[in-house]
Amino acid sequence: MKNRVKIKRIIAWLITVPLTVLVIQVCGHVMDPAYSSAGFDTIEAFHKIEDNTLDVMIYGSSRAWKGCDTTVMADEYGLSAYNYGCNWQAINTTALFLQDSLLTQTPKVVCIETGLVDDIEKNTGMDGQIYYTKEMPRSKAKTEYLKQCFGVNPEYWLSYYVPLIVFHNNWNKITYESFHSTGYQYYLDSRGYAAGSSVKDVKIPDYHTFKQTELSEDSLQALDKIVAACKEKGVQIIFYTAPIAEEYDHIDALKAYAEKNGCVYLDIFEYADEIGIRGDTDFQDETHLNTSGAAKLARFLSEYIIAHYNVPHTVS
Amino acid sequence: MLFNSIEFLLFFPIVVVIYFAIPQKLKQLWLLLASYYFYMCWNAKYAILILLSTAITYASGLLMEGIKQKKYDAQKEKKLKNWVVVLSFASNLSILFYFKYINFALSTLGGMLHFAHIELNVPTFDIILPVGISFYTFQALSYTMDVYRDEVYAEKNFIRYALFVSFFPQLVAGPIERSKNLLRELAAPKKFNYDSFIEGTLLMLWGYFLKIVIAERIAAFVDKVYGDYYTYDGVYLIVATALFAIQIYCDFAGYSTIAMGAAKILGVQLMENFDAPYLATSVAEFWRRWHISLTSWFKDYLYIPMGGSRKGKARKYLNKIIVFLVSGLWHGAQFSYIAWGGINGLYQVVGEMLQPVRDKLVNRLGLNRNSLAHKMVCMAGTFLLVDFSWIFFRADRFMDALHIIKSILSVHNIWILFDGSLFKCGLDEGNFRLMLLSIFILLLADLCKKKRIEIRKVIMQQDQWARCLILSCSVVLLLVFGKYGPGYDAAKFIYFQF
Repeated sequence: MKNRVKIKRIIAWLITVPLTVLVIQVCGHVMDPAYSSAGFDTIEAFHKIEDNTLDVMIYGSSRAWKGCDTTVMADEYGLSAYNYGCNWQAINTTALFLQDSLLTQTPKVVCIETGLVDDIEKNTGMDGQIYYTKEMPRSKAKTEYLKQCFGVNPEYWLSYYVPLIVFHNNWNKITYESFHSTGYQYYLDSRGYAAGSSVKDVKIPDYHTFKQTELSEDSLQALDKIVAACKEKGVQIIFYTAPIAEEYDHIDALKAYAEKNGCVYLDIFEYADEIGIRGDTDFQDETHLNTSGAAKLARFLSEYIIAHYNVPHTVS
Repeated sequence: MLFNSIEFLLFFPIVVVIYFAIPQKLKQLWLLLASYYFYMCWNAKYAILILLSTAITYASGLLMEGIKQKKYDAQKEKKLKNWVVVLSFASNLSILFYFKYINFALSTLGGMLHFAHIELNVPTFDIILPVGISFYTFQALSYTMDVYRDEVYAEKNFIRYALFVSFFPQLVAGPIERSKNLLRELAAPKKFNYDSFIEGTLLMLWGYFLKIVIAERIAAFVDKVYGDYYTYDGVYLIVATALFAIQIYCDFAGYSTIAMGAAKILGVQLMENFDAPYLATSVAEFWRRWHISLTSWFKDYLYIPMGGSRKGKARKYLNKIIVFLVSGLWHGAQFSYIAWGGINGLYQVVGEMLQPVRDKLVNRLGLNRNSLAHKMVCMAGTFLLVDFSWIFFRADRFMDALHIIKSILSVHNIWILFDGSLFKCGLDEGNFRLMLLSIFILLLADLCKKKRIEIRKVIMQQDQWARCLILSCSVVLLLVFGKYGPGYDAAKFIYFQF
């Protein structure tokens, strides 16, 4: 009788505990900010692309992700391009995205948007920007990145694998989108590009008036990782800064860094007029180009790449 | 190591598993090592203080036992034992005084000298208050008194005695256990008991509900309002003060309940520290239900030795005021705490003095004391009185408390109860409503407690699947609705600062 009771207890626990863990994980996924699931989707989409088929890749924060229409690069110039930017990519997160992509692709040219070059992802409140990297396969680069972000704090490490711990405060923000994400297919179809068609009238400041500051040690280390990873695979780097309606103070530092490391730096503030990017038609908000602006930037980068690099294309 | 931290949630299961895996003779040593590790996570060097307190009171017990065995005449035995008690109390209270009250005493002295136009440079010391010092000092001293009164034999096993003083579930914020209970519990052999494990887990989950769902949530509102009471005045302060009463209850009772649950899992029964205090119908009853371990400590080791109620009414009232003033001082080295204690003492005295008047009034009006309406009015009145005193407890300083009372009495912005303003004070509408729902659940639980309906026992009587489901749902609900996690600065348990 005693043994039957013990067995009953063990069976009850063996069923309840995994079910509880499952419910906890489901709740965590439902409560993660709706916009971070887009991060999951874009990473998932990238990893569905056949290996070694991309020649041009775009990286960076949402200024790259929403600001460079890679479908234009593909459709109008025949470039095999993919936009592997994502929301809130600090420069060390960009380094991780680049290192992750080079595991399966060998692009000829990479374009790295530098809007958040002085942001380093560390142990922050995990609104989603570290969490979405969960979708990336395990790699040495990812482990190093997580160590940089979390240190030895067990709470952060646990939160990474049990999202409910970090997202439970969103219990009263659950919406339809919490249960339905865009899906990776959207990003496969758009070549990773996150389109935004709204229009906001902004004023692009005069880049001649920007105060200039140096890059931090952490930023330089992240940039060095990017350069080293690319050099190893013979990939050419174009750093660029997309125009925004705010000041940007690392232009000189990036020019110097690019020159020192044999890379190109394009300050798009300088080229905005030439490209035709206008504050009244090409922005969806103060820091993001809309579809019109993203198309113009994509054309500019495509023509630059075709003119300067030996990359397969269809336009002479 | 806070109870609501990842570190504790990793530490505790490891302690439990090893505890039940090792032989009986090593269990106490293991718990002792775990307790010291737990304490040293706060501040390693202050473990010396707890060890010193342990050694002094352990020696005091053995000395008194030795004096008894020498069979002196009654007078000499009493005199020698008195000396031992005095030395034990003096040394322990000196340590407590130094770490907790020296700066307060010096600044008060400086103030008095300044008032007497004597200018003297009074030094201040940079002292960090050791966590739990008030609790373990009182617990150790209670042992000295219990041996003196022949209520317990002196404990000869140093490991067991040291564990009595430092037992980690109740080390930093009580309950302040009595030697005759806890030493007996620690001495009894322990085997893993499944029902105790489930009951202990239920207790811990309830404690976490009180702390991370209710107390932490209320803290966001109260801190916002009390932190800027010039902006958030009038009815804001009324609401915040009422909520603070719930916050401190849930914070402290939450800790005590987690402590009880953790001890239960280890096979040790700790005393109840709270018994639905806000359902008391008088302030006297409130103090029989609130922080029971401290109240009974003061009753047994201060009030009764001072004469209690045996030396006439005037002396009884004086004794009560003194006990509550000391209780206020125990809570903190600030005049606001002393004022809080004094107010509660006054309530007791005035309440007793007016008892005949109240009885006459009830008779004249033909009121039924046992009716629900009468009880509810008494509960509401008691809550108001107690809550008023909490203002002094919560305010940063005595003068702040007076400003707050003045603002409360102005009551000029009652519309904020209806126009959504309350949802802009640290808690959005969803969280505010969840807070109210949680308080309602707490009220139901306390009503059951008052009626002696033991919800835990009801759960334990259900079959295995129902119990598993309840535990599982509780864990999920805590994880969803609790206030915790990375980037969240959890408030320490309020009573840790004492």
